[in-house]
Amino acid sequence: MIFAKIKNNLLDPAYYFSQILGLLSSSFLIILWLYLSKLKLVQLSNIQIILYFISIYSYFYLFTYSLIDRLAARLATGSQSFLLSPKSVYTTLFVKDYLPILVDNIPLIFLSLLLVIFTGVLPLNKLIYFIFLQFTVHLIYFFTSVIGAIFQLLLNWGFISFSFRFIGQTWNGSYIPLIFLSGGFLSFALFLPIFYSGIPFQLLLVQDLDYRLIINLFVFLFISFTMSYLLLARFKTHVQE
Amino acid sequence: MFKNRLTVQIIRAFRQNLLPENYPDTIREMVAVLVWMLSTYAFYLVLKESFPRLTELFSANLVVIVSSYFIVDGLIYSLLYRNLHELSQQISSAKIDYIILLPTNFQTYTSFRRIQMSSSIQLPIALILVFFLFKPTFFESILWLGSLILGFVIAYFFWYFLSLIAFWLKVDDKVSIFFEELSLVGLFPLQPFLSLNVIWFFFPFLSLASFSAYGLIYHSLYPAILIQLALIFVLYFLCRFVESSGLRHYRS
Repeated sequence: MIFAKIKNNLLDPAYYFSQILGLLSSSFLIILWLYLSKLKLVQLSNIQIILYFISIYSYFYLFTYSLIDRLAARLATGSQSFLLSPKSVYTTLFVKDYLPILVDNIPLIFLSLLLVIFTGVLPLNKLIYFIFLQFTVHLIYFFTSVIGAIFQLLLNWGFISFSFRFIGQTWNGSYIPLIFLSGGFLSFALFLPIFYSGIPFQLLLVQDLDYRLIINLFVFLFISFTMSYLLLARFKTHVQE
Repeated sequence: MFKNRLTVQIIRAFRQNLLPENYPDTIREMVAVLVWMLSTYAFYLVLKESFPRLTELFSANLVVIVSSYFIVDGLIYSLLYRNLHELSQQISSAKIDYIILLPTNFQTYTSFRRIQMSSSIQLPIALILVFFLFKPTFFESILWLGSLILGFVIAYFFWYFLSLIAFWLKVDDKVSIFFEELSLVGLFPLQPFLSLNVIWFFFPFLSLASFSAYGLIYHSLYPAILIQLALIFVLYFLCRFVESSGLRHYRS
């Protein structure tokens, strides 16, 4: 099914059009940072800047926007039968909602990964580490979206996905790479529930990541899983009542 | 007549948002918008701390740049978002048959049916910040506000034009997301685009708010307004042409 969807996408001209639109969205940030580089305010090469923003944007601009709304719709419309089914709710949400979005983005993710490897922006010895961090980030993203979707339903607050999207993009490294955060701003950002998503991409800019960022990533994984698990249980009870 | 209808709609939307059953939602949405505004100002503070040499971005200039963006963005989200956000998707999935059959203008009906007021909270805050921190003269203020309204008109025509692409390409809501993402260009100063000679590439998006901010900061609002008027002229006829061709294509 996954390969069939990828094949369908690749044969559809509209798919390329939408992906190019997605890529173009990162262009103004590339311009801003190339300007900072031109002024010699950052010690990053042009290729590093371009690939960093293309990679981080192509990963998260489509994801951040759509998954919470999609999960909320699934939980709302199919709530009774869906939640009572013996199959794990996580599996259903993952297969029916998360996987299609991931599959839509696979070609671009793959292409950006190839580019960062072939241009030497990501050293080969860091590749496994990078992929491992990405995998962790995607898991956290899934659990966080489940939390966001349940809050959206329980609080009747459609602005959850809005907040994730706009505030998230400002603070997950899409606007300013996390390596430039310091002092109070870093302490503040570490607590934001979207901050984690830019952590792996910092490997495209520096050789070694601050250990606090890695610790943060696993703390987020633990918190997001536990919270989503408890909230799903609460949501089931809420629906059955 | 159209202006009157829009005024009635705006007043009705305000009343609906303040009804007891809608009041909590309105407050929550406004809080979300305010948090986003704060987050954006904080982003500039981080840039300032990281790159203190970027003086042109900061102090009062920062207030003008960000506030100009928030005023246009507040108008876009209040008056256009609920209408145009889904237009390309509706066209792509062939769900506009009933609109075509209505005895009303396609463009007016699809563009100004629904209004949401929560984003309008951005307007007074942005205005207060500029008037108290930048202190423009009365005449400059009028020109600047006029330029921002022109920026909003450009946003409308450009977003509408992009949505109409869906008559030929199955783009779902991607064009709306693209427009929303690239309109964020207005949050940044004009200098990087001028310096790297890429201003033409971002031209429609920069004309939403960046030209107005630049014009106010450097006391050159007339060229900004002229450029915006020319762009509106081009976009107006482009929209008319693409709309009629698109509807013909759809009907066939």
